[in-house]
Amino acid sequence: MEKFLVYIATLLNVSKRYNDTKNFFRNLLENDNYKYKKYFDFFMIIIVLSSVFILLYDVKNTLGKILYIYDIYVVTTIFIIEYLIRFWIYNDVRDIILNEYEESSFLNKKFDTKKVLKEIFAKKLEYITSPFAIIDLLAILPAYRPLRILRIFMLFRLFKILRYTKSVNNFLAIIKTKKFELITLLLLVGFITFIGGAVIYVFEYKVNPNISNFFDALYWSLITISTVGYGDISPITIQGRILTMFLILAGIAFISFATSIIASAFTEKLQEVKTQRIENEAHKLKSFYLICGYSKITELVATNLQKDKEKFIIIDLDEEKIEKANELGFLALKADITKKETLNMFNFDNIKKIFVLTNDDIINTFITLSLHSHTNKEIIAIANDERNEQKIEKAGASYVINPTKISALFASEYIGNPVSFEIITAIFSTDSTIKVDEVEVIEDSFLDDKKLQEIDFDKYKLILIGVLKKSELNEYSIQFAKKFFYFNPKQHIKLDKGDVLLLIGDIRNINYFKYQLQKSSL
Amino acid sequence: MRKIILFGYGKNGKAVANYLDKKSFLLVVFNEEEKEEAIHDGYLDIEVYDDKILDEDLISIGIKEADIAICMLEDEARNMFLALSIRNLNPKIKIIAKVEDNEYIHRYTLAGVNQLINPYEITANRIDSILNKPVTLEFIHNIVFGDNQLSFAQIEIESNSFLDGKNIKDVNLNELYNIIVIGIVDRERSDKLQLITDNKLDGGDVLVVIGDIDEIERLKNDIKGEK
Repeated sequence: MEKFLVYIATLLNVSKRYNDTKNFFRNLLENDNYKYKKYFDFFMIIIVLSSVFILLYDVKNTLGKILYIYDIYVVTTIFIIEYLIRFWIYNDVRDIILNEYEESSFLNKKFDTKKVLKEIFAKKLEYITSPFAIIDLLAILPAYRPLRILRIFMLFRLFKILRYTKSVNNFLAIIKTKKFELITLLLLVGFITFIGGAVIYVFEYKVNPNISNFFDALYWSLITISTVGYGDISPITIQGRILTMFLILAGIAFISFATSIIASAFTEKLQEVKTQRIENEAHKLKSFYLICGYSKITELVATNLQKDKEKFIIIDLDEEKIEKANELGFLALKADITKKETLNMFNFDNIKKIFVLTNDDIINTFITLSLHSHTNKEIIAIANDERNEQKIEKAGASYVINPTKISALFASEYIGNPVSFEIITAIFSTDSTIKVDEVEVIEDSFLDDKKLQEIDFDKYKLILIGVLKKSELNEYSIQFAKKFFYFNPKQHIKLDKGDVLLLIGDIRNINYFKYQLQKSSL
Repeated sequence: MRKIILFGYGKNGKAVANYLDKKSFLLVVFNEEEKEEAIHDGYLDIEVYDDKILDEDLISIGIKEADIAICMLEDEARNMFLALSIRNLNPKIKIIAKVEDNEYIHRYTLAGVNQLINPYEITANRIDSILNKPVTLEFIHNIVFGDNQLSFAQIEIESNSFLDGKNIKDVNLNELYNIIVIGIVDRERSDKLQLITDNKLDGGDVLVVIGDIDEIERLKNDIKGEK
């Protein structure tokens, strides 16, 4: 027996197919980040709603054969299969067996089959008695038609919907945080209701024709205290009326108390829920920029990125700044990027580049260092003081920008070399149509493997300023970024894929050129 | 020689001073702290004024004869007031001013500032260029700040020079001189840069070129020589 158990467990443990299948179902049913889960959830919600609709329809009308078959067999079968799969994936039985086996062989004692079976049974029982499993089971029951009372369990199918909708779960989780307050309130309400009921019972039993037993009194008390006040039972004695006045006042107090408890639970949890939502959104982003720190520069950079339809996430510690960013429509998250749990929140493979843009150089250095030790993605950082530029670069930033320095350069250029300044501002300003732009030579396009003399730039009304090549040629070149830039390149230079052409021209001509290039490579 | 006055020796003023020739400008500071720092950094031509600089003071430091004023006070309101006072005294002067908040741009323009410098915006644009136009950025960086021989220049075509009346396509300047003509400023029409690929050149037109500094000089000389 034990040998058989261990054999089966090992077999399952090494079977790729078994594990893949189990993982697939685990993801489908339990992993919120799994992309197909939402389709599954949606499908189940439709099934549940349709079956509840059929129940309601059935009250007055008779079901057609198709609907009957659908309701009894199809829906129920799906529910049973789901229940069984959940039962299956709740835990790994083979782990229990293998653990016991390892333990027994390690400690050199006998394999305890009884203990193992007990443990397996306990685990599975734990599943069966969990609230959601009970709901699932009750939702299956109505299929047994002869017992009409079972049909009311159909409504448990609606509870099943909770399983498939995350927001409802969030709601319940929030309510749960105020469990103590709500239970206290409930006890208090129960207590007052009981007293109210008791008092009216003493005063009006048999005096009031509507109160013929203690249940009537309790019912009246609850209807009054909840401020519902049907009026089917109303006090007729003066004592009863005075009591009613007190009960109504108490009722108003209770209701506002309950409302405030729930409302405060929500406000307390709001930030968490928001963070959760942004985290989820961050998970969904395929490729994005990470911006650490919200400053004036961040605001401008983010606006630029948004204009280019790029995705990005801003992280800052200051809640006010986050709020401001959110108001501007940016995806912003309150978190400490230097903390491990924040770093783990992101899939760094999906991050294009990282910006570190706080107003504090010490923080910038620390963030850069933390990120650089975690990932080798390119980091662009700000040094607010020129003296810190090198330190931040040492910390691992690929580019360090000092706003004061570059604006001073800008100013000195304006003074010293107005021509260059004018041209540069014209090229970089957004309202000018003349642009310098770079075009990469795409494989198999009309540029690939061609000599410059074969390309008619005049036709596109573009001026070629230079070519950036990976390899060094026998010509004068300027080196940057480990590549070689040929200014005013000779006509016989041949282009290869990956080379970058630096062109100047009207933006429309440049775009047309790029378009033609793309087209020719297809 | 052009007369340049730099106002303020705070973070931004200091950075600008760093890029200017020490003897080429007059530095005006507004408190003892800035003065001490400026002396420490080796500036000699310093004037100190209290927070309020009066029109008389501006005149006495020669604002009316100056060509360029650079307003780099840290305080936005005072900086703007200074720019306005300068413009008021000298309608022709070129004023460069620092602005840190986009909200104030319009007001500075009203105050008569020629060139606004917004450190944040420049930084954001720089980041944008790193992302979208790295080669362009490197190229410009090399031209502007590098010790390469490349530079932008404007060359006026004199009448009867060898370029007058020729089509830009035919003269082949990029092979003869290793310079690239990127545009033309037609002074009669507008001061704006226009691209040329296939234009006829006339006397009085100004060519905008990039190229080797020596080659640019050679072209300039050739234009003059053939006159």
